[in-house]
Amino acid sequence: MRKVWAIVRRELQQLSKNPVPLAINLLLPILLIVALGQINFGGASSGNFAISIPVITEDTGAGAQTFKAALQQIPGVTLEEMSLADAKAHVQTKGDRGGYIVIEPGFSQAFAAGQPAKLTVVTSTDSGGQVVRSFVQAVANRFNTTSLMVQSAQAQAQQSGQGAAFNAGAAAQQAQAIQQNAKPAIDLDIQTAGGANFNSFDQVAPGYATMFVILGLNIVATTVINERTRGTLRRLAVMPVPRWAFLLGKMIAQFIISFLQVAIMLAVAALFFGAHINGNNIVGVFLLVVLLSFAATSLGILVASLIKTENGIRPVILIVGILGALLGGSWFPLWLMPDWMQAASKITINSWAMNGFNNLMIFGQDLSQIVPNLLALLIYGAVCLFIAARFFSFTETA
Amino acid sequence: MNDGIQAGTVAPAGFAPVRSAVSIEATGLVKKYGQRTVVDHVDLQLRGGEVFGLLGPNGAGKSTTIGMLSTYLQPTSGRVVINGFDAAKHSTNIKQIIGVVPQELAIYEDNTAEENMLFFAEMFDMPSAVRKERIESLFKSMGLWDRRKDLVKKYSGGMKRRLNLAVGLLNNPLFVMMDEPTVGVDPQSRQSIYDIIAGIKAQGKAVLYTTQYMEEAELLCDRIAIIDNGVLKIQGTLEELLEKSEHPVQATKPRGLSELFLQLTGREFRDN
Ligand SMILES: Nc1ncnc2c1ncn2[C@@H]1O[C@H](COP(=O)(O)OP(=O)(O)O)[C@@H](O)[C@H]1O
Ligand SMILES: [Mg+2]
Repeated sequence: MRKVWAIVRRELQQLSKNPVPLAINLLLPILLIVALGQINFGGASSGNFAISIPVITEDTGAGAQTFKAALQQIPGVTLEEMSLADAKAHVQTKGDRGGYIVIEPGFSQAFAAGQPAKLTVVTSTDSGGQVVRSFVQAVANRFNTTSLMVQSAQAQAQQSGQGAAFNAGAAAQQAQAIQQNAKPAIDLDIQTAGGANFNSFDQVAPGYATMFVILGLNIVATTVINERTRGTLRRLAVMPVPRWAFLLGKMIAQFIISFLQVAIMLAVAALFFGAHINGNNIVGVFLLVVLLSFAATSLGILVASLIKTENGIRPVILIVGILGALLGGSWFPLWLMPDWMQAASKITINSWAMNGFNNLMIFGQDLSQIVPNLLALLIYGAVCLFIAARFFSFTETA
Repeated sequence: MNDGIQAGTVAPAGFAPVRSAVSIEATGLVKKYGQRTVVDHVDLQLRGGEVFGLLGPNGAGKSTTIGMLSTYLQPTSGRVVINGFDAAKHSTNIKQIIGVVPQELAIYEDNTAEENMLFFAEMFDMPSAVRKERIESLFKSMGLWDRRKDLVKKYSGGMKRRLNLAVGLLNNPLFVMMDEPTVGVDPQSRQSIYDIIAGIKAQGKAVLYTTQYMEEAELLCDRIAIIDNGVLKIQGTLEELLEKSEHPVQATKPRGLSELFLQLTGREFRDN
C-alpha cells in the first residue's frame, strides 16, 4: 500500500507543478454554472420558451372557453386538459409543470352575469410556478380591465340618459366610485403547492459538475499514456510493483481530483446560489458525489487501459463527456426528455447521478430513494475497473 | 555508503550473501514478433564482478535481450534464471535484485529529480533510512546533489542521463543492465558513468552493458558478445575474440574490435 501512496503522491506533485489545466477544470465549470444558473430551467419554462399548463376544466361554458383562448394566445403557452390527480402529480411529484389551473363549476355562468368567476391556480414555489402565476394573472387582469370599461360605459350611458351635461369633475368622481365598487370579472385564487422545489442551480450545478468530472478524466488518463510513451511504465514494470498497485494509485489520484471538482462546484452552488443542499439531503448528496467520482474515475482508468495514445484518449473522453451530458440529463432535466431517451440515458454515468441529484435536491426525496442510483454507480465503476484490470498491461503488446 | 551487497533478504533460502553471489543464466532465448525472430537462441552467462558487453548494430536485438533478462518481456522460448530465480515464475524476486537503465530516458520530467528518486525508491522494499542514504549517495556520485530540487525538464541532456542511471541503481542491484547509457552524453558525464560502472564491478556485482561504441567496450568490458539479427555471433574476452575469429569469409585476422565487428556484421547501413 505504501507503493500505491507513492504513486498517488507523485501524481499529485506532478499535477501541482502544472496548475493551470487543473484550475481551468475547476473554474470554467463554476463560471458556466453561475451563468447558466441565471436562466430559468423550471419545469414550466425552458431555453426557447415553451410552457405547458395543465387545466382542469370543470365548467365547459362559453366563459371558460373565452378565458382559455385568451391564455393560449400568449406565445409559447399551451394548455393541457387533464384530471386533477394528474395535474397534481405533474406539479407536486414530478415537478415538470410549474402549476395548474382549475376552472370551477359555474365559472361561465358567473362570467356571463358579471359576477366574479372563480378560478383556482395552484403553482409550485419555483420559478416555473412564478411563470404560470404571472401568465394567469396577466390574462385575468385583462378580463378585469375589460369589465371595468364595460361598467364605466354603462354608468356614463346612465348619466347621459338623464340629460345632464358632461361634467369633468363629476365624471372623475364617478370613475372613482366605479373603481371602488367594481367587481372583478375573475376572482383569482392563487395557491402554492408543496413538492418540487426548484432553483435552477439545482439542475445546472450537478449537471455541469457531472459533465466536467467526466471531461476531467483526461487529467490522469493522459498521464497513464505518457507513462507508457515516455518509458516510466516500462521502468516500473521491472521494479517490484504490481500492476494493480499502479492502477490503484492512478485511480486514487484521479478520484481525489474528481471528488474535489464535484464537491467544490456543488458547494459553491449551495452556499452562494441557493441550490438545495441542506441537512436533509447532505448525506445523500455526499454519497452521490463519492460514487459519481468512483464511477467516473473507473471509466477514466478503463479508457486509459484500452487506448494507447494521448491523441486517442482526448477525443474519446470528449465524446463520452459531451454525449453523456446531453443524454444523461446534465444539460436538460431528465424528466423533460421523451421516454425512449430517458431509457437510453441509463447507459450514461450522468443519468444515474443526475437522477439522484434531482431526486434529492429538487423533489426532496430522501437517501433511501436514491439507493438504486448509488448502487448503479457502484456497479458501473466496478465493471469498468474489472475490464480495465483485465486489459491494462505494463508491457506493450505487439 | 557503498556498502556492498544486500542480498541477504532476497536470496533464496540457503543462499549465502557473499560478494560474488550473483549468477545470471540465459539459455536458448528466443523472441518473436509475429513471424519475425528478433532474438534467436541466445545463451548468456554472467558472474559477479564482471562487466559484460553486448555489442551490435541498431536493431540487432540488444534491447530485446535486456527486456527478457529483466522480466519485462516474456521470451517466446528459452529460460532466464537469476540467482536461482526463474524469471517466468519468480519475477518479483528478480525485480528486487536487478537494476535496469533503459535506453530511453524513463524519468518524470514534470517532477523534481528528488521526487523521482524518492518515488522510484518507494517501489523497493527497503527501510526508509537506507533509502534516504542511498538517494543521497547516488545524487552525490552523479554530481546532481545541488540540483536535486530542480525539475527534471530543466536538466541538460547529460544530467538527465545521469539521473536515469541513478534511478536504475536505487535498489543497490546485484545485476545491472545498462542499455546504451552513453548515447548523446558529454565526455564528462560519460567519464562519470564509466567510474560508476567500475565501482559496481568492484563491489562484485554483474553489469550487462550494451553499446555500439567499440572503444567503450574495449575499455570497460571483461567479456564481450557481438549480436546481429538476433544471433550471437561470438563471445569471449577481447583477446579470445580476436584470436578465435576465424570467420570463414574473412581470411585476415582483425586488428581490433571495430574491424572484427564490421567483419561479423557487414558494412551495410543499419537504419533499423
Ligand atoms: N514490440 C515490438 N514489435 C515488433 N518488433 C519489435 C518490437 N520491439 C522491437 N522490435 C524489433 O526487434 C528488433 C530488435 O530491436 P532492439 O532489441 O530494440 O534492437 P537494438 O536494441 O539492438 O537496437 C528491431 O528490428 C525492432 O524493430
Ligand atoms: Mg536498443
